[in-house]
Order: sequence, then structure tokens, then C-alpha cells
Amino acid sequence: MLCQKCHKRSGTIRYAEVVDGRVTDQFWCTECLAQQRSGDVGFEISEISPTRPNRDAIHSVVSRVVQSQQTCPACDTPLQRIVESNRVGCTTCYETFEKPLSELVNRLQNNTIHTGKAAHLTDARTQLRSDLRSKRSLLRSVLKAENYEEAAMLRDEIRSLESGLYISESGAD
Amino acid sequence: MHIAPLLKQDPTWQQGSTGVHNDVVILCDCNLGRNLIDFPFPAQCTSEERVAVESRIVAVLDQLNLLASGHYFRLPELSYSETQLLAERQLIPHALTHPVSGQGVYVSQDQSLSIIVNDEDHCCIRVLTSGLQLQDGWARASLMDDTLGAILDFSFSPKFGFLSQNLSHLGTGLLCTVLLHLPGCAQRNELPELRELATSLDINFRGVGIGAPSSGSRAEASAHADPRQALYSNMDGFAPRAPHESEGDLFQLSNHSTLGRTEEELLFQLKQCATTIIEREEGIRRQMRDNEGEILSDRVERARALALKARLVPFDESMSLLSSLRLGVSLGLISDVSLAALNGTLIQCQDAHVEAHRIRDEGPVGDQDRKRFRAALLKAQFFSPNN
Repeated sequence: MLCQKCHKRSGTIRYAEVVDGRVTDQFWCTECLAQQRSGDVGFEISEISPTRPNRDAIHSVVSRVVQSQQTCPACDTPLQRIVESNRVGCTTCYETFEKPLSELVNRLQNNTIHTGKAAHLTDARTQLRSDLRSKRSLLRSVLKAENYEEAAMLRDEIRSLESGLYISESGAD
Repeated sequence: MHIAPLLKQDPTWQQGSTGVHNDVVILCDCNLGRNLIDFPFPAQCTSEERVAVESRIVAVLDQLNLLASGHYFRLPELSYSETQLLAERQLIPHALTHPVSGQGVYVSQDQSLSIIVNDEDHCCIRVLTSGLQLQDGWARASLMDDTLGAILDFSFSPKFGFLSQNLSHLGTGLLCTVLLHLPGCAQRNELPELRELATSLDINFRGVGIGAPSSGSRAEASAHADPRQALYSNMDGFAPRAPHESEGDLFQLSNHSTLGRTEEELLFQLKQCATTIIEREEGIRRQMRDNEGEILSDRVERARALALKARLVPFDESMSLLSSLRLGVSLGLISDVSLAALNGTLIQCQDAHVEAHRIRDEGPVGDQDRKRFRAALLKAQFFSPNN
């Protein structure tokens, strides 16, 4: 990919900028990045661990918070500090800064959607659906690992859960 | 001493006889982080808020009758040596050896479960198991999570899952570590391959170092550089080292992500990776026994002779001796020592445990005395009643 700033050299570095809570991503060459860094006021977030498989190709990830003055209304934690430290102040921060936090979380974890256990499940059908989602997700991993014996058992469990859900829904009607 | 009741009993995981692949896997720990919905996350809490969080959690433990079958320790009330002892037994992360108000830990009677209060999260359920028993560890942690979650309101979002102050722990909040003993792979220089395998499965493969974890969970943890020698851990594993710099042929596997996969998937991948590495290690050990018997016997017998005769043993050397002895036991070259006794010695050789014996026995004081005490411990294991 060509550098999205000079459009001449190869863009090997992902450059993310957060302005007023909005994140923009670009791929830049090292020269353009060095030029930007020498003239800018801001700070870098920590580099992503080199052990992540899908990030080996990315030499480094740099993020700059240029103009954001936003703070969490509940705990007063500035967005800048969260971006810098990858640490959030309170539950409300997640609601206030949902968009930039989704970006950060995606970079750190390669995902933004929770598929695991849920809290406060009181409705039996919600629980069933959650179990089904978990089993299906596990089945994908098991099949990928070519563990067919365990996959067969999981399929049976999924069928059983699906029939339970059907009965439960029929009963509700 | 506040924690005297714990010292009277060995942790259950130390027995090591129940775990699968217990000759290769020393320990598994499952950490499940949870936060109360109506408080800021711990780093943002005031001292009063931390104390209020602690009081609420302790009241729930009392309500569940857990305090009758375990102990709750308010960490600021303990001495530095006592918090170190808890850290050496893997019951608290290293960062809590320098506690602030409101930090504490609940420890079950058998020391296989602890609930850490106000570290990275308001509440972290940690389960320690011997051998490769990740599923058992998770089942127990999940049950405790359900029990506490039925009374406490945990911070949860349908999109991000269980919320945490650390964006790397978001989602399931589940961080698991497997502590492996891999003398065969280390000797055959297979570590880069193992690292590659783990990385491809989104698993961290790292060496284990002595002392404070360098990637401490909190900034202030690094401010308290700890000169004492021990195997300390935080929520995401032991003090990390490059694999070739690992002490005592010990290595750790831990899950990298906590979001986007179910708990079962995370455990499955970690177990799959661990099983592949264990099978490779066992294969190499068999080859060593069949093809390099003399070299292997020499290594094991040298370690045995040193363990029986050495007068002064530093901690890093004790790790190295224990590695060779463990290898000898697993291949049947040593029959008068058990894996449980070696696990016990690994714990007892750490500085705070040596210190605890000193207090009880009016024994060693300085560095040389610690080395002398370790030498005595290594020798004693050949005459232990556990064998």
C-alpha cells in the first residue's frame, strides 16, 4: 500500500489520530511519520505486543490525541489519558467514549464484541440462547482443530439445546 | 503472624498427584476479573470508595458463609513478609505486596481459591489447580462468579462484556496461565518453534523469571523494585522472560485476548496449545532416555549429589537443581523423591518462606543463611515423609 500522505513511498506504519473522539486510520511511510512527529504536540500510546500474529507486519502503531479535551462526566477521566494508558476510569467512560474505545479495543484484542458468559441472566430463554451461542462458537474452534469426536458431541448438545429453545418458545406462545 | 493458619497447611495444588500431565504441568491458574457497577474502577477509586467496595464484598462472603471455611486478610494489616508469602503461594499478585487501604484477599481453606479485592478489578477470582486442569479451574471460578454475581451487581455491557479498567482484560475477564516444565524442549532448542506455535493460536509463550513481574499491573508496582527472590505473578502470568532466559526450565502459556471468544473457546485453545507442547516434551524425554541415557543420568545424578551435599544454594541454582530432579523423577531415574515434595520445595525455597522458617526456628538471617537453609531443604526432601 502506498503512503496515504505522500503517495510515493510504501505505507508500512498505521497512523491513528483521535480528534474530538473520532478516530481516523491511515497507513504512512516512516519518513512522513518522522516529519509529523517532529512538528506535533501529543503523545504515543504503548506499542502493541509483537507476539500478536496479525500485527507482525505492522512495525508500530502510533496514536495521537491532538485536540480532544473530553472527560468522562462521571469520573472526570480525560479521553487522552485513556488512550495513553489503555485504562478506563469507570463504567460511564465506556458509554461516553464508545466509539474511540471500540477502536482501541479492536487494536488491542482484535475484536469488539463479547460472546462469552453474560451477567444477570434471569430469563431461562436468554440463558439458552447464550449457551447456544457459546457452543456454536466452540464448535467452530473444535472443527478448525480437526477434533471431530468432540465436534460430534458438541453438535448433539447444540441440537438438544435448540430443541429446548423451540419447546420453550412454543410454550411461551 | 496473621497468616499463620496458612503456613500450617500446604496448598492443595502442591500435591500435584491429581492433575493430568502433572510431570510437565506444575500449575494452572484461572483469573476472573469483575467490577461493581456503582463504583469507579479501582485505580480511580478514592481510599474511602475502596474501603466501601471491600466492606461490601466481605459482607457477601460472610453472607455466603465462606468466611467460616477460609480466611479474609486485610492486606495493609499484614507485614511485608506476610504479603510476600501470599504472593509466593500465588494467592495474590505481586503488586499487592505493597498494599493500599481497601485491598485484601480471601483464601479458601485448601488455598486453591482466592478472591483478590481492589487490585486491577474490584474482585478477582483466582483458582489454582495442579496439572492441566484448566476446565476444573474455570468451572470453580465460574461457580464462584455466579454465586457472587447473584448478590453483587457486576459491571456488564452486552457489547463489551464484563467491564474492566484494563482494556486488555475486557469481555470475559478470564486470564489463564499454565506453568510448564520443559527441560527437554529447552535442551533441544525447540523454544522458538514453540513460541511460533503459541503465537499462531493467539497464546503467549514466555519464559519465567525470578523477582517482580516487569509488566506489572500497575505503574506503582514497578516503583517497588523487589530484591527478594521468588516466583511472583500478576493477573497475566509470572515475571516474563525471553524463553531462552527462563529459570529452571519453567515456561508459561497464557491467553492473549479476553474478548470475542467464549470462555470455553479460550480454554480450548490454551489447552490445545499446552497439550501439543506437552506431547512434544514427553517425546523428547523418551528419546533422551532411550538414546542419551548416560548424559541424562549424569545430569540427574549430579543434581541429586548437589542436592544432598551442597551447603549453600542460591535461589536460581535451586530452581536449576529442582528442574533436573523433576526430570529424573518423571523418567523413573529417581524413586525416593515425589513430584509433590519437589513442588513443595519450589515454594519453600522462596525468600519469604525461608524468612517464615527463620521466625519459627530462630534460624538464618542474611543472604548466606538463606542459601544454607535452601541447601538443607533440598537435602531434606530425600527424607520427606511425603515420598
